Amino acid sequence: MKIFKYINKFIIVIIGVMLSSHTFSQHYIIKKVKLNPKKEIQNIFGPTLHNANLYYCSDKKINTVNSFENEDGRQYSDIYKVSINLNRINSSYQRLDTIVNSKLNEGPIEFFNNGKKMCLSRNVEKYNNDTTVSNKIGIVFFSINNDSINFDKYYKYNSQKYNIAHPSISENDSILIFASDMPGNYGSSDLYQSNFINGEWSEPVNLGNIINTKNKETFPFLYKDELYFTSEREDGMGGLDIYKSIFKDSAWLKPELLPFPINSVNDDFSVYMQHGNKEGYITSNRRWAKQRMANVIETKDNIFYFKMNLPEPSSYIEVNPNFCFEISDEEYDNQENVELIWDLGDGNIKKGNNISHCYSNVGKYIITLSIIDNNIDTIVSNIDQYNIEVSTNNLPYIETKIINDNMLISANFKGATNKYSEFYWKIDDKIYYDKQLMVSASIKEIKYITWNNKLLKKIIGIKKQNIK
Amino acid sequence: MKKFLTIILMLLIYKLNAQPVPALEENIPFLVTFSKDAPTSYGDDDYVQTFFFSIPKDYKKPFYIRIFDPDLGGKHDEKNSSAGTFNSKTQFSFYGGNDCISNEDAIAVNPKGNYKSGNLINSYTFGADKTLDDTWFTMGPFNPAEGEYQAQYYGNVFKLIAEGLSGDDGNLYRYYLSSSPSENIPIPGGNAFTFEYTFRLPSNTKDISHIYPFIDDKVVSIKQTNFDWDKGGVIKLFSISTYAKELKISGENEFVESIYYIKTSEKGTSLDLQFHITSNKPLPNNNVVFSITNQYGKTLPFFTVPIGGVPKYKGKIKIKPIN
Repeated sequence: MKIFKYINKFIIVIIGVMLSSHTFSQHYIIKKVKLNPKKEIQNIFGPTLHNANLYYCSDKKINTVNSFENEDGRQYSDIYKVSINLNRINSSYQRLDTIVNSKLNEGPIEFFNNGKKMCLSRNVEKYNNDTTVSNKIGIVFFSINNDSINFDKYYKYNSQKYNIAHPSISENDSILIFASDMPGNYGSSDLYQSNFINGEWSEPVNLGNIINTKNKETFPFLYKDELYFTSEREDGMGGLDIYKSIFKDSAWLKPELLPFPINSVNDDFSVYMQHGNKEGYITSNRRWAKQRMANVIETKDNIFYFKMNLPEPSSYIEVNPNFCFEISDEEYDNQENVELIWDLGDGNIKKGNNISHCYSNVGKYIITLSIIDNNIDTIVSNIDQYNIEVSTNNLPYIETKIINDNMLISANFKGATNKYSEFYWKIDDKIYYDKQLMVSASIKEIKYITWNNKLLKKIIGIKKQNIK
Repeated sequence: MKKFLTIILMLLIYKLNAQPVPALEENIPFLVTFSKDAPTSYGDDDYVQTFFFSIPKDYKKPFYIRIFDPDLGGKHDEKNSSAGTFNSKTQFSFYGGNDCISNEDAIAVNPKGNYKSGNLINSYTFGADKTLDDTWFTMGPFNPAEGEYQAQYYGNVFKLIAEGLSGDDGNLYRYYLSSSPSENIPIPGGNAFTFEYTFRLPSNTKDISHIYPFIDDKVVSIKQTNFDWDKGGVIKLFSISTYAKELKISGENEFVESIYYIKTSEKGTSLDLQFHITSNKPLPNNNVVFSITNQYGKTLPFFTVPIGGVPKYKGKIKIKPIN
């Protein structure tokens, strides 16, 4: 249809031509979500989970008589939803109504504000009917009231000159990250951040060259302090790949390529993570098992469910390091005008016969006792020394903090020599993935399992018992 | 602003050759013996001071006991006579031979019974004598073999008793165990000790005197007795494992006593009993009598050269993790 000849491509899907030589790692289970039981020709991508529904995008032909195609001859993408439990489909798909789905492309959907709002990217209508410009992608906000979806507003910084797409909003609704090809990019598409301040989204700022490269960065997904995104950068497994960066000390750390089979030699993109990279959905044009058996070469985009096959350590170690100590001279009886003075070996000096001190880090310290005898105006120095080692045996340890009847637990890596990239908690045989957990203070045992994704044999199980 | 001094570790002095009595480290100006007509409130409860000298077994040469200012009168002694002149006499008697120290009376706190046991080798009596004022008098030579060998006291032991025979003045004097009749030359490994110390305290405030009782491995507790301290300061007990434990102190013409329980780590070491003058004004002519007995009432010796060295408080750091 010529009327749409200026409309940009919304999603560029590169069909992987490389044959996958990988077999799936036993570390993850990964399965294609059966969203296309009638085997229609379509690309399915952009998964979002909300209220037990999987929202996704599809470019399937919706009307055989009156369908629209973009300039590439592809159908425009719309947003659909199905009821889902893990990767099991519980209902037939449902195309969202025309408030959401326009004649043109709709992209991945994002819910926020406790489900009372959502946003998505779509081709925004042309400005002033100017036929010299194409419909650029912009972000549209909607409000949701009792399942009724209403248009709210456009993102303030949408432009007719460039695209702004794939919105992802932080858990506290304060940060919006999206992809854009606006001028000043490092590559063809970069990631930008906009903050919600005083009821307005701020002017977007490029996330910088730690995240963005001369290649394409797109499909951001914020999960707590982690940013997952898709990139074509050169150190990937092939095509588009999914990376993770952690926000630490006011900066994004160098992105890490997620392991196989989340990534493959094909295009892997547009993630929705439920528990970090331990469970979620990805989009990929990889061949699934039946296609490999049938020697199918060219595939469409599909959504895959993945879950980390959580490893169990061979044993659990109790690591209960003490950074805090009571220090005294057990020979000394209090005498008038006499003070004990302690050089604690870490730059701190304290006075008193019975002191307490917390070291801030692991290490070996020499505690030196001296006496100030004010009766004779004398310091008796170096009376006794004690070598103390604050150690975690090079392992992380479980830190607890009692708050009323609850307990805040977290893992502390102070003193751990190895790097640990993955973890989960096991409490009363339930699995948790949060870095910090608030649990009942009456819990008798906490287990923390951690490992480095590249060193799967070194799975450490750490146990803390009789906590309170 | 207070000026703090750092105590420098004192060298072990057990093997040092220093036999002045009192020793320099004790910081005691003089030994004191009053004559028997003096009131005890002057600071001497029994008018007798007995010191023992130990000569190493392998020392075969003659030795001498030198007495500084043995007379009564002149520069150092304490005149108490109502007549306005010194009227007293002090006898210095030197004993050796069997029973010299092994007789129980010889080491008792009070000079009773056969406290003059052993063989009397020499004896001198001094009154007012300008020729012996503020100078040294030499007794000897003595043959080390004439002493009573006692391994627990590290050699052949001799006994020197100073006794106030008549009058009411106080004789202030010092000894030196010397290998020379004319100079103070120490005898290697020699030592001196007493079981009751009667001495003059320094008169300057902030001065500290020390005496060093030896605690053998049989001692469980000690009872300290001090007389006529005049509450001129505090008496503190130091050891390798006790810092500045204050002991009960006496007033004018008063005996007091208190018990201290010996720690295991203190057995086989010396204690450092410190006499701290805390009065803001100088206290002239303050004399004190001090003795220690063990849990059986047996006296313990004060060595002028402390056995094992001057004890230095070591403390014991205890660390307890806070969970």
